[in-house]
Amino acid sequence: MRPDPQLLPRLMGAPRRLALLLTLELLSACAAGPRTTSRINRVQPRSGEVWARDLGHALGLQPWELCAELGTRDCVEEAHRVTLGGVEPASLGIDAPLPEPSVSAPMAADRVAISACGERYARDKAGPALLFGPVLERDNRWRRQEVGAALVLRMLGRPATDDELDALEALYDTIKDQTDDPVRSWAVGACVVVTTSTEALFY
Amino acid sequence: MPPHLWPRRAAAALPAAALWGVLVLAPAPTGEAQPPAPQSFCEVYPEAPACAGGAPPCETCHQTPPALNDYGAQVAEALLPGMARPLSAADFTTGLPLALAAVEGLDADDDGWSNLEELLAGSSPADPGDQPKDIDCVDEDEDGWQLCGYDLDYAYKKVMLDFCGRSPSWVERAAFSQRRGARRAALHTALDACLESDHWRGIEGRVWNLANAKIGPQIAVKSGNPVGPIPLADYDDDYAYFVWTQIDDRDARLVLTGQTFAQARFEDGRTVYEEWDRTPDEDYALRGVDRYQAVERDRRAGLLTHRWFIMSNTMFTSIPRTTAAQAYRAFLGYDIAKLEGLWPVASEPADYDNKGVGAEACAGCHATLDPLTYPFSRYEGIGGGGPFSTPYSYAPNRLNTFTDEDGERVKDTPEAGVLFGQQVADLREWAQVAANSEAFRRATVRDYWRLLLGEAPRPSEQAEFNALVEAFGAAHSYSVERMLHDLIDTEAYGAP
Repeated sequence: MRPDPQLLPRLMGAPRRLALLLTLELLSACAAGPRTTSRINRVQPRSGEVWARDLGHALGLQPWELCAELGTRDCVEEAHRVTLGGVEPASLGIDAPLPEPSVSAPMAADRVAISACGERYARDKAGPALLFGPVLERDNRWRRQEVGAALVLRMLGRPATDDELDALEALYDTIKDQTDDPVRSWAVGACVVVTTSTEALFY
Repeated sequence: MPPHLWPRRAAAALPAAALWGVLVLAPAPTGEAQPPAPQSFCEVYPEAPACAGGAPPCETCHQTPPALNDYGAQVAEALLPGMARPLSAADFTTGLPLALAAVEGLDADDDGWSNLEELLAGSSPADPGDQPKDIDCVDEDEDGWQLCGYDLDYAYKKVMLDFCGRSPSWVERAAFSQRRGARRAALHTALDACLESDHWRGIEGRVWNLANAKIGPQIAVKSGNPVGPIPLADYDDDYAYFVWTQIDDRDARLVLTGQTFAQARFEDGRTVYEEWDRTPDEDYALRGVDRYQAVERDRRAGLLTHRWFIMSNTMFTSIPRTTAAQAYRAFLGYDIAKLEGLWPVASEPADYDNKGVGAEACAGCHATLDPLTYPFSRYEGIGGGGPFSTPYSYAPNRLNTFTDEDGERVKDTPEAGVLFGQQVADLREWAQVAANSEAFRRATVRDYWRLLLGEAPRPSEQAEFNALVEAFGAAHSYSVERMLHDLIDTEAYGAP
């Protein structure tokens, strides 16, 4: 996996911040208001292959550029293939996706997303920028909202709501004093939030 | 004593042989084949969701067979009370509908729902934690989704994900929404396009992987490319043929009845399938000893006579019960190991190979399985057919060479068998009966339903599912793609 020395330790070592992230996300999605209850209530996970295809499209990366464990093993096709909903019939006898997500599935998704978002940020910083250009040029609230809107549009295929943009932007206040590079930490963090959201992983 | 306490006492009081599962698993002392309780159940409750798959699960009446659950115990108590146990097959068949009716109004799990209400709703009459659900739909927000009915925008997104393997972009979604009155047509246009994608029909695509459990690939004994350490057969032939039968509007029955083969190759960024037909000699000359298909054309029956299928299932056995059981499970949806699809034949099991299958604990299933198997017995496996046999070929006198292992009677094993109570002369007829059966239609539609919806049809979805099963053999002309066009129009698929 490509190293991401600045973001990963902070995320791994700061469960309170992760909890806050989740809270923000939930708040944006579940703000008090109209009730909705699906009669069908059928939610399916996207296979790792499909999720990675969307991730690659959103971030302008080829599938093999998203994530490689130890720098050699493709995370989605090889290292976490079964964990992310794939099959391995000929060598492991796993004919169908696991009926329940494995306990390591969230970690695998996180690792892919952190790697891919970090790669996109590095490329944008080297230029020309595809996604994070606005905050790389000048970092402020409006520029972050602009990036947040682009993230949601590219990954989820729809415009972001105001609540979602506020929640993503609020991430900056949470992390700005705990990082040497708040622009990068926010950009990659917001990217991970969107690309590992419930809407991105399930349908 | 309140009714809900009856079953436990009844279970303790009744002879074990009177119980449902035992009647299925074990024969009466006379050796007579026992009645297929699951089929009898579904004849009484054809509309029960548990019967959607053709036979209810064992758990309908059992904890773990032969132990009964509370509902099964109620049925057992009501089954011809006072009559000596064990019951004969005829008495069981006669008495079961009356017993089922007698306990319909009871509540075996004491959860407030009668047994009948639970059976018809698809919940367990023996599990108080599993009750009929009737969720009211609420859709008060204005997020653009039609939560309480079919939503074309939602269905479009799902079609793109399921068949194309990617989310639609914002531009695509907006363009679709703007079609307004033409969205339904646009949805089907999108499906047609996605059915051509490699995500759907390509090598290791979704249709390809649908065959995993049917083919059971094992790299260790694969020939071809890649090759395993002990190359015996190439399952790529099986995968390619399976997908070929499921695409381009082909008749899906060819998976059992076809007499040709198919190959898949990646060309210009997409998978291309090509039908081919060679004699065993021609294929041997072209592909070599470890890959060639050895069955002559007039003895072929789709995947059932493919080299990999015979090799991996028949292996070294004279009467290849595993092969027949796998065919029954993979293509007709009946797992005999779960007591599904039992159609016992009165004179069976004859036990031609002296395996002891006439024993009480075996005959209940083998009265169905053995006659199901005989048509497979003329196809050579890996070995065992003598020094001059050709592996994986059709050999009418094959069983003559098994007498040392299985006794003289093995030579008397007929090639004719019985499938669904119907006599079949050989495996080609077996395949024809199978491919034209309701079980095949149901199993095929269920495969795709599960693939796209992640689960078997729910009780509330039975009508839509059954309509698809019926149409598959009629309006769809056994075309999987036509069936899929109707499947995506169901509320089960298109309601968020």
